[in-house]
Amino acid sequence: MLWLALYFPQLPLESFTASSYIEHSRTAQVVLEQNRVHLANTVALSAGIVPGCSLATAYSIEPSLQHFRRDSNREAAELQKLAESLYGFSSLVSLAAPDSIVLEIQGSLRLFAQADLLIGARELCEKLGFTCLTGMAATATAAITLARSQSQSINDALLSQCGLEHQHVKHHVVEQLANMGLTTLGALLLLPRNEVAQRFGKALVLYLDKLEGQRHEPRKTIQPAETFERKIHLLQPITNKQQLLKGPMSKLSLELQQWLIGNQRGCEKLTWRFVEHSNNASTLHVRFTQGKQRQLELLSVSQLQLEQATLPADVLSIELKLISSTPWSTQPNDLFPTTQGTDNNGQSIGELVDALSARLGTQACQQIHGSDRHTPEYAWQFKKALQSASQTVLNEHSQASRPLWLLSKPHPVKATDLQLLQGPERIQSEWWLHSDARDYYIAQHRNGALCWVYRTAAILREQQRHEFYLHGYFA
Amino acid sequence: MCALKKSFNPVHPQDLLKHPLLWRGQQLTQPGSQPTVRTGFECLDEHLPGHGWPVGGLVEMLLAHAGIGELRLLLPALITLQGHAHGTWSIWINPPFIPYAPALEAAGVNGQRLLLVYPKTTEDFLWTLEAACKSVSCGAVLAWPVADKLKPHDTRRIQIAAKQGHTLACLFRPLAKRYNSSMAELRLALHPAKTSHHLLLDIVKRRGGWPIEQLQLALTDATPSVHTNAKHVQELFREWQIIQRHQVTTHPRIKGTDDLALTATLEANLHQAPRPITRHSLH
Repeated sequence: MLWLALYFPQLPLESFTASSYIEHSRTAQVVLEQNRVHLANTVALSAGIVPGCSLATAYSIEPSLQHFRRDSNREAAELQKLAESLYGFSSLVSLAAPDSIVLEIQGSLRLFAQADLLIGARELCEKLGFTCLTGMAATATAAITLARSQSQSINDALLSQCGLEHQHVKHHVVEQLANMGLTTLGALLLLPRNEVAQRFGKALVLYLDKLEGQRHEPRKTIQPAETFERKIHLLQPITNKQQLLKGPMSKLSLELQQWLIGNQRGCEKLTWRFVEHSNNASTLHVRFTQGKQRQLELLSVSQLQLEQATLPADVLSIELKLISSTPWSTQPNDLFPTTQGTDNNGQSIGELVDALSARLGTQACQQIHGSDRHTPEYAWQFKKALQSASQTVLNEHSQASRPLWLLSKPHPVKATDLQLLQGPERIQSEWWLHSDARDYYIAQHRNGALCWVYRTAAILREQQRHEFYLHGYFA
Repeated sequence: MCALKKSFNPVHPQDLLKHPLLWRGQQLTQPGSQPTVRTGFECLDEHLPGHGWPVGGLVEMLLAHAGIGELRLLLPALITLQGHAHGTWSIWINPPFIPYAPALEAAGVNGQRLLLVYPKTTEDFLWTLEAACKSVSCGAVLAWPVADKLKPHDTRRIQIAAKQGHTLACLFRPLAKRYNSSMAELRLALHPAKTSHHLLLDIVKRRGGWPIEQLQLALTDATPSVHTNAKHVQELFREWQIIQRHQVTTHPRIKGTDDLALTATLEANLHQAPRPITRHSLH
């Protein structure tokens, strides 16, 4: 087994900044625990705020400081979300509380190259707003140890060279060991285990055994959620659609993408909800004709609809909910792209229909298909684009020519404007609907158009009987 | 001091034309000079640049009213484009009437590959047209502007989109727009001919050639005939008429008036001389 550990050193701070979408690179920010600075970002550190100082001291150093109180529930929730997002890389994802995640990647290496997997996982975390450090080893504990040791800026260190400070070794034990001249794991591992157990307790031996893989280490794996529904609550309202799209919506759709990949689903319909202070909300329903997984596709169609929509002035929270999805089927790319139109910015028909219906409304895209009824009004049907309809076999008996254009409502024409060319063809409508028989003629209108006209054979309508009705054009 | 010796051999103008940097409009009319699709009508092909409809360009059809054969003119090309490996879809934007599915199937158009889009505003119309042209899966776009307010720069926008997407874009506009300027690659004015099997066609604008007027096209060359020979039907009518009259005189009370009215109409139709068809005068 090969394990990949992701360690999030800034998790206490980033659980606030990532989920509330706060710009975190410019201003000094600290996280407090028991009124002392627990963690400071780089801006704060460079200003001279050190972990452990009081809030008052920190403010006196940097008046524009932002501070948050540490919230371990929030951290755990964010870690859970991250783990679910990483489920796309491995089926065995396990939380290592409080701030790490381990993935079993031996099986995943058949699908991903090792480097791709590492970079992919790291990029994903960064896009979601978390800095992470990675480590890879044969046991989960060793992987975590390697990831954590990198916070001392030693990259690719061997396990034996790792220091003891940032590991899950109790503080006084580290101090004791340091007094004995033992500062690296390598030195500690050389000592006989029995002696170590006697002096430093069983916990340390357990840790060392797990590190070397001498003791089994069952891990509880996460189960991804059945449904996808995420919210982002902002600390400062967003008033600009572009900002909304680049910030929270992009993050939420990335999370959705990962959920879809993890569950092997394609998104068919999703709902955005934008809420204001006073619970004034507006909702966007986005539909996809074919299941979609990629963030960019999800976002580009949402964007078209967002441009049309009116949102509350100040958006404070954004929700994304997946309404329906289909089992994912990959569309194979062409092995040999043909020369025509492969600039790769062209869309397939499904994407085009999605884009059109997002902008023009769901009813704007239609298809027609024939049905097996013989009356002209019912011999065709509109259907929504790209919805597979039952294939109707057109009856073969219709050898008589039919017009390409059909008028939705027959239009009376003067008989004197017409020159009859062919007919009559009697078409009897279904008697259970409305009984009338029509004699259809092909005629040329005075203006040159080739028309399909009819005359009702019904005797009932006395006053209309001489009139011809235009029902189609042989365009 | 020593001037270059002048050669007195005059350069022949024909040789000048062979300069590799020189580009001549005539080249456009050669087949294969640009991607085209055959129209299916021989006599039209030879007048079009590249001998066919441009795949990757805007074609404008100017016609006074629907129903004179404008779709039959395009059907062969539509069917060919649907058979291509890429761009099998035809997208019809704002068709003025309902495309009648049985007739399309009978003509050979695959209705499963036909998408109808109904945008509401002109801005949406243009956006749809552009999006459709740029899509890889779309081979032909047929568009009917609702209230034709297209400006020259709008047609330019469509022309560029069609070029990018390698799509045959076809815009149906009223004949009155003939003298408005347009950036379309090819503009045709369509007029009804004397018989319904024919179409009169003016090439208003084309690349690499002068406009042509009064090109007569037999639509039956490439599309199935809509109706049989009218003479045969009219003969039948005459016979039927005589029988009717006979019956009416013998049984004057048989739901008579109805049929009489019809025969009167038919008679009027049959004895009319073929009407001169009103045409817009050409300048």
